[in-house]
Amino acid sequence: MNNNALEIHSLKKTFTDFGLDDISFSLPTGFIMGLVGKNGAGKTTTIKLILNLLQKESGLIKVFGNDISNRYDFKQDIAVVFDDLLFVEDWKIDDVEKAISPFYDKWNTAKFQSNIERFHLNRNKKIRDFSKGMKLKLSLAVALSHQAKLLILDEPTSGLDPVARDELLDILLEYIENENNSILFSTHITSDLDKIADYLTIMNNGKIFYTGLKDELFEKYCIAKGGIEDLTPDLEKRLIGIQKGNTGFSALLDVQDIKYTSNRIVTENATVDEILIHIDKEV
Amino acid sequence: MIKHLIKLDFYAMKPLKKVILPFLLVPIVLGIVADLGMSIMVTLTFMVFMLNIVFAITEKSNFHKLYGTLPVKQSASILSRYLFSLIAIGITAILSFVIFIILSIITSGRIDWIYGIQFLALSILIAVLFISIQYPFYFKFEYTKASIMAILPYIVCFAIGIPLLNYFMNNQNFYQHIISVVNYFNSNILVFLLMIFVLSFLAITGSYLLSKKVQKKEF
Repeated sequence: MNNNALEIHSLKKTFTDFGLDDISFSLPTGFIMGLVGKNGAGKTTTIKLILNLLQKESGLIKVFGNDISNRYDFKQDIAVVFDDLLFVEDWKIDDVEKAISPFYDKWNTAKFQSNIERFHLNRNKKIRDFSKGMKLKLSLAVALSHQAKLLILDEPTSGLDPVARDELLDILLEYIENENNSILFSTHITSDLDKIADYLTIMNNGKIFYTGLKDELFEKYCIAKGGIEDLTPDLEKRLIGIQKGNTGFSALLDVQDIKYTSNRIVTENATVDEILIHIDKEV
Repeated sequence: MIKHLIKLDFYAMKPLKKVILPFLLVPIVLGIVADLGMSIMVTLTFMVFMLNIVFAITEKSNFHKLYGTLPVKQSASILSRYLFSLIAIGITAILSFVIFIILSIITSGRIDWIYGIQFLALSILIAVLFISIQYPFYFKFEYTKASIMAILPYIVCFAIGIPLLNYFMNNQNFYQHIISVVNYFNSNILVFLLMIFVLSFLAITGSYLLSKKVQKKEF
């Protein structure tokens, strides 16, 4: 039995000024994966390829173990929340349900209604009058009402205040309590992932820098800091994204390469933000 | 799935509900002050241009992404849009013909069925032709660009058609030939209806196939 909710192998897509190159990662069932990278790293492109909104040049995408090429029925079991709303702004909540529910075999009206109650969404208001947070909650209410086993979120927290972001994370943690459910969560707000992600996939300029367990990332990389005079050629070629100042440097370093550092160089645990900053400096 | 997509288009048009209902006053007013047959034609043509707005609404509402999240084939949204438009034209045709019948009784006390049916059929053909010409542009380009591009075929038709028409109208033989064709269709209404049906079917099918071929596949 395949235990991956999502598998991507050697995915490639080229645009005139950007491209995804050899993207591979897998999300085991029952876990949350953070898809991280700066703006333009390729996160949304990857998600669009999963949804067939873009056509891949090569590679393989499997959802629940099945190749999704030229298929659309797998979308019965996935739910997607984008940063922008996908409904007509003149609709009210009941219109959303009437328009969307017929597409899903396992649509659960009671669940939708309870989500609406729980999220304190006003049924009499038009969507155009909803705040950004309320629009996100409406998208989530729809996403969580057809028993989807894979939830894909594309930058859902950008533009949300901290309270709304925290509420969202709680909702996701509740969703993942069902061990058959999985979440792919694309974001560039890395603090969100500290709380909920089990796995991380870090993208940079259309390539995968790291994919695997979140904790292993922090075991694998550290931040090295020291004086300029401590930069030996052997060490310098192993440092990732060196930031040099007048007196010192800071860089990302594979823990395996710590043996190349001198006693005067300090190593610290890296944060996801620091990793993103340093890999961006690496050409 | 097609049925649900058609319903989705009707829901998308909900913001226009308040505009569409008063718009039924157009055939009534036109029927009284101008010509009953012409009122059917204007109503249907007006409806077709209203239908274009569904492309603006769905584009603004990110429906291209919505289709990506729903368990539907991407090409199904094209077929459903054509069917939605044909249904809307059908409903408008029925309503405008009912208004034609009522106004005929009120104004002259009798109904000229042949005249009404001929105008209705011709109006449907014109509406279908409008859709057939415009929709491939809307599936290929963004709404604003498509709205401009979709006018081009009409400009070309006018640029070529009017001088051509003038030339033929000055030609007595051609003029008499036209009159004999009109007389033929007046006395053979079934042939006329069949011709309208065949032309409409060919236009809409060709347009649908073209839209499928040229549609934006990436969003």
